Amino acid sequence: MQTETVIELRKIYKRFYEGSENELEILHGIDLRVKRGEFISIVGPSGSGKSTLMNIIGALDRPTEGTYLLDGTDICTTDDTELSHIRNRKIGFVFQTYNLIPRNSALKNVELPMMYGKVGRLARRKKAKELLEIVGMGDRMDHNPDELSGGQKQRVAIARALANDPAIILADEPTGALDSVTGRMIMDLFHQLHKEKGITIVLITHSPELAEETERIVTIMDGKITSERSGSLYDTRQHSAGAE
Amino acid sequence: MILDSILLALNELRINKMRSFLTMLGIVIGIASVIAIVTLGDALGNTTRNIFTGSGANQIYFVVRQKSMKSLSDYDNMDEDARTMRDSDKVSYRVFDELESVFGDRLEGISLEDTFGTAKVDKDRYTIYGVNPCGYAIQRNIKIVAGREFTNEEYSDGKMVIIIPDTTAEKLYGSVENAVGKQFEAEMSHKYVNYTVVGVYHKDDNGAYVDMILYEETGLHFVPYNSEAKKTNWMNEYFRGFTVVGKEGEDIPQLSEDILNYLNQTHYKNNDTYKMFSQTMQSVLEEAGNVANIVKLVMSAIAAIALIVGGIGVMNIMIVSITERTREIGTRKALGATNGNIRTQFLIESIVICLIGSALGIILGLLLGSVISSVLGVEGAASVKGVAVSVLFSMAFGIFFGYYPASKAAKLDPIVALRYE
Repeated sequence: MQTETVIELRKIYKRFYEGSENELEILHGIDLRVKRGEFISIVGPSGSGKSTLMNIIGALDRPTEGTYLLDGTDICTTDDTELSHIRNRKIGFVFQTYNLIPRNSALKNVELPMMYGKVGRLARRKKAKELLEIVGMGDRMDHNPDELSGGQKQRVAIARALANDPAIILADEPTGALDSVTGRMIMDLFHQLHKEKGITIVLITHSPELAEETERIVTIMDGKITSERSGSLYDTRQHSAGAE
Repeated sequence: MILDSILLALNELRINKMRSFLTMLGIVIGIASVIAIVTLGDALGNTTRNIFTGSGANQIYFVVRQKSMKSLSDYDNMDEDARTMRDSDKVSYRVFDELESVFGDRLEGISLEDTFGTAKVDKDRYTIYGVNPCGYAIQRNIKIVAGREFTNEEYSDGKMVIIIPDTTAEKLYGSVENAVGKQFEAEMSHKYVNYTVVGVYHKDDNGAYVDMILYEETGLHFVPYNSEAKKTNWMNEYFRGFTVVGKEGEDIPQLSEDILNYLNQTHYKNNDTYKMFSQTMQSVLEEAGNVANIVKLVMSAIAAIALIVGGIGVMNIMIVSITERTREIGTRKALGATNGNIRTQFLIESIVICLIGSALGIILGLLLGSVISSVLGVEGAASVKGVAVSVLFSMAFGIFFGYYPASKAAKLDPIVALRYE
């Protein structure tokens, strides 16, 4: 069992319009550690700073203050290009709105992160096919997004998130646009990937039920972590991670 | 990565066929105009040069004009109240003989050619054109297809013989061969004239452009100059103008200058109103060339404007496309695309539009150029230089007009772009 820390946030502050009279502090010193192979959820109402925190974890944004070590790399000191490379290699995004590239087949979509990662044509095609098989989309690889249902799109998106063997999967309301049955199937897929492949998953959600399924539930309110507790998955995994 | 971007760009263009086509249209029209103009310009230049190096090059045209004029076409300085030209102001055969003796070794001859009148046969009218040997020799593109040219004797004695175009031969005598030896009977200036056909000629088509700059008459019926002078009342003994043909290899502008000085210092020295002016075919052709160059320049400017407008169209559509695809750009960035990746992608899309547009434009331009060239009767060869320049230009346009939108796309904040609705 791995205990290595994948995400380490230390005293993260995020302020907008810094220095002006409209200065707005969204995050007030967040401390969070996620271990490799962990499946955690971050919950909180809208306006709580959840999205801002997700942007920072996803290396889409830098904190104003504090340290963020992602898989050992300090992302606060990197430039835009390096940040792109970090997102490419370390993070697999799953969005509520799927965000597949239109007019590109499922296969092309899954190949995309590998293309930016400069993986060879044949290698990435092979890998993309494997991943689509894993998420159960092996028979629809040549379909464009507009020919797929919501659940199918999200499966493709998950395959795409896995393309470069990222350190974490960052899933932002991945079932938010799906009906309950399809949403359940997507959650099952996450559980399967977590269990069978030991993938680290950070689930951002406002649904307490979904959060309950994870190993650890981090609640954020008004830019602060207000509670951290174990979810139902905690017992089955016998996980040692948790609030320090 | 580059190949992927090219495939992606082609895919985008394929999906938005109509939009892509309209965007390209500006580039197509711009490039087509440039190619057509370059092709046409080259063709006009070549044709002008061909005339220049051909028979016309060693001709000098002399004409009597008012002293007050600065050149023979300077009609602005013409004095309306000046006395009219008398025979004594003109030149006669005597002057021609004089020039032959003074400049003989530098001259091929002095050409006499003039329209004598219109001959009527039945209801058709034919131009009767008197020539001396030199005047006949400088006719362009004439080939005897039946019979023969005039003999020296026919020229000097003013025999009633005629050389007619093949079209007239076919009309009046049924065929070209049949015409030789037949009588050409006509009414001219209310008098009956009767010529013997000794030759039939065919004139190659000059083309509209050559006709435009050389003002050549077509369908002429040649007769020896003296024959007409002898038979009609109108005795053209004095001439306001004539054409001197210089010997091969002669410095024509210098010869022109020398003859002009000679005439103005002898015959026109004491003339109160008139003097002699000259113009070489070379200067006529240069003038025509200058006009052609100006036309080419103006047309090129218009083509350039068309290209710029086309380029702005490309830029516009790129901006629209980038706005439409903001979310896609955000997603790509989230997946690890660098600013450079995004910029490259859109730049390539813009370049691909411009390149496809220019390929179509080149095809259209070459077609257009060859059609116009053949209408004008000039040799319109596809200009490799023009094609190369166009391709380079359209590449440059693709980069120039694609760079701003592509940079705009590259600089998008992924967070903002991802949330874009």
